[in-house]
Amino acid sequence: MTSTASECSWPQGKTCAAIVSVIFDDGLDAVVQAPDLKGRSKSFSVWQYGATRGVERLCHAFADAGISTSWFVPGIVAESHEELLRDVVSPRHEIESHGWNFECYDAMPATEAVDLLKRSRERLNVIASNEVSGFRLPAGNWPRRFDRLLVEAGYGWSASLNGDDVPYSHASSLVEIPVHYELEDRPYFQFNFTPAFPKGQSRIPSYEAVLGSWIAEFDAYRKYGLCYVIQLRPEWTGTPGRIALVEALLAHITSFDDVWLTTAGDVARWHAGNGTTAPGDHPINVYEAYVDEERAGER
Amino acid sequence: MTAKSATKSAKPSLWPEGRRSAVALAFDVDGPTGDAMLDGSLLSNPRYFTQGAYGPWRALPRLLDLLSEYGLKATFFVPTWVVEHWPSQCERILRDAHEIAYHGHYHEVFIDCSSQQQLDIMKRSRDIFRSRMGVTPVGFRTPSGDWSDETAQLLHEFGVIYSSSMRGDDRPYFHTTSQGRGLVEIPGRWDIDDYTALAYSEDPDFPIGLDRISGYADVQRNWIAEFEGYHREGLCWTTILHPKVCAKPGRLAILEGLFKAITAHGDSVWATRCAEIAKWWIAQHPENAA
Repeated sequence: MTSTASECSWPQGKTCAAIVSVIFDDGLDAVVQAPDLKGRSKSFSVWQYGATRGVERLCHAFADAGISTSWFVPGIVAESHEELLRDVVSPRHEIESHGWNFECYDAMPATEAVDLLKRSRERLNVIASNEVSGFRLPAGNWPRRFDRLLVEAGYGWSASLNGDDVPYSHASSLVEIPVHYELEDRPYFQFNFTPAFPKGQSRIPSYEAVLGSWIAEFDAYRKYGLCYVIQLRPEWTGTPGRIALVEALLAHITSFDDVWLTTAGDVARWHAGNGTTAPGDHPINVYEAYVDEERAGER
Repeated sequence: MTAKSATKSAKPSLWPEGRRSAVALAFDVDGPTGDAMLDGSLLSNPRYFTQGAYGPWRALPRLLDLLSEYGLKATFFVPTWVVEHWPSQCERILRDAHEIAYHGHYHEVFIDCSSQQQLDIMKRSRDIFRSRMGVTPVGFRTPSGDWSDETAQLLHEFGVIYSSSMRGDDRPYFHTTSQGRGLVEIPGRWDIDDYTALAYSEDPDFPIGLDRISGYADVQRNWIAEFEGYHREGLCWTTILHPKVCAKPGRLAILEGLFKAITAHGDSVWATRCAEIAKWWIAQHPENAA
C-alpha cells in the first residue's frame, strides 16, 4: 500500500490542483478579537490598508500572472467597498461568501443562520461576475450539520475545515475544500502593537523563509497530487515589500504545465461532478461518529 | 594528540559492536485526542477536530511510506482512541515492523490523574491494543504534561519496560522505585519536538502567544544539527514528532532531509525502535552488578 500515487485524479491529466484565494475582511477579523479597534484610528488603519492599497496591488500581481482567484468577502464589505470589488476584483476573479458581518453561526438559531447566509449570497451576487456558491466560515465554530444549512441557503461548497488535502463531501453533498494555517499569510505577517496582534507580539519572520515554506508545500502537493490552497489577505501581502512573495510563488506555480491552477469554484464543481463520498474513517465522518458516541454516553 | 582526545577515543561505546550512536525515531500519533477532547470543547469544534484527525488519516500513511523508502524503523506512541477510530492505518505501523506503544487513551494528563485512574487508563489501552492489534506494548510516553510521583513505579509493575518521557539526559538511564531499579528511561528534548517549531492553531491558540511557524529550511538544519551532535558524542537520540504536524506534505521534505543525514552514516548509527534500545540497556546493565 503506497499513498505516493495521487489520492485524487484531476481533469485534463493534470497532476495536482492549485487555488489562489483572497480573504478580504476589511478589518472585521481583527475587530472580533479587539472590539475597541474601531476607536483607534492608527491601529485600525493597519487593516484598512487592505482596501486602500492591498486589493489593487494583489489584483495587479494576479493580472501579471494571468490567473483568476477566489475572493471571500463578508456581505457588509460588499456594501462598504462595492465599487472596488466591482471594478477591480469581479471582472476576472470569483467572489464568494465570508458570511455577513463576522457573525458566529454556532450562536444563532438555524433559521437566522439560513437568512444571513442567503442575504450574503444575494448581496455578493449583485457585484460578482460568477454565481456565488462558496462559503468560508468567518467566526465561531462550525455548528453540527451546518453543511445542510449551507445547501438550504443555496451554497454548493465551503473552504472552512481541515482534515484533508483534497476536496471531500459532507453528508449533505456540500463539497469541502480543506484549508491549512501554514498556507495563510496572516499567521506569519499580522502585527499590531496595541492591541497586540499576535497576542505574544511575535517577531515578523524572514520573508524568504516564508516563501521557501510555501514553495516547499506546493512542490509536495504537486508530488502527491493534492489540492494546494494559498490564502492571502490584501492588508498582509498586498504591500510593496511582500507582493514579491506572491509574484515569486505564482511564477513558481505557473512554471509547471501539469498544475490545474484554477478557482475554488471550479475545483468544487469538478469534485461534485465526480460524486465521491468520504469513507467512514475520513475525519469528517469520524467527527460525526465521535459526537454520536459522546452523546450516547459511551464514556 | 592531546591526552583529552586520547581519553575520549578510548571511551567504550554504549552501543553494540560497530555502532557509534543510537537513534530511536519516535512519533506521537495523537490525532484529535488531547486537552480539547478531555474537556469536551472538541465536540463543538470540528475545525480543530479535523486538524487533528488529519494526522492518522493523511499524514501517517505518507510518513510510513517515507520511513520504508529509507529503510528506517521507528516507534509510534498512539492513544488508543486513535487505534479504535483508525484501525487500518494503525495496523500498518505493525505490518511495516515498527513498534507501537502506550500514550494514554484520550491523551490524558497523567499528573492530573490518581494512581487508580492511571492504572485504569493503562488497562483500557492494553485491552484495546490486544483485541484490536494483537499486541501488548512494552513502552510508554507520557501524554502532554507531567506524570505524577507514582507513575514510574505503577508502569513498571504493570509490565512496561521503558518510558520515553523525561527531558533531563541525553542517554538512557533507570528510574528507581521503592523496590529498586525500575523502568528504563529514553529521554527526549523539546529541541526535537515539532510543536516548538511548526505547530500552529487558532481557537484553541497554540502557541499561547501565537508565535510564527518557523521556516522549513531552518527547522531541517536544526533537527539535523541535533542528530549530528548526539551522533558525534555517541549518545541516544529520540524524537518527539507528531504526524499531524511534521508529516504535512511540505514538511515530509524536512523529515526526508533528516533521514538522509541519518542514513548517510551507515551502520555507525543504530537506528532502531525504543524497545530494542531499552532491552539492550537492560542486558548491558545487570541489576546485581550495579
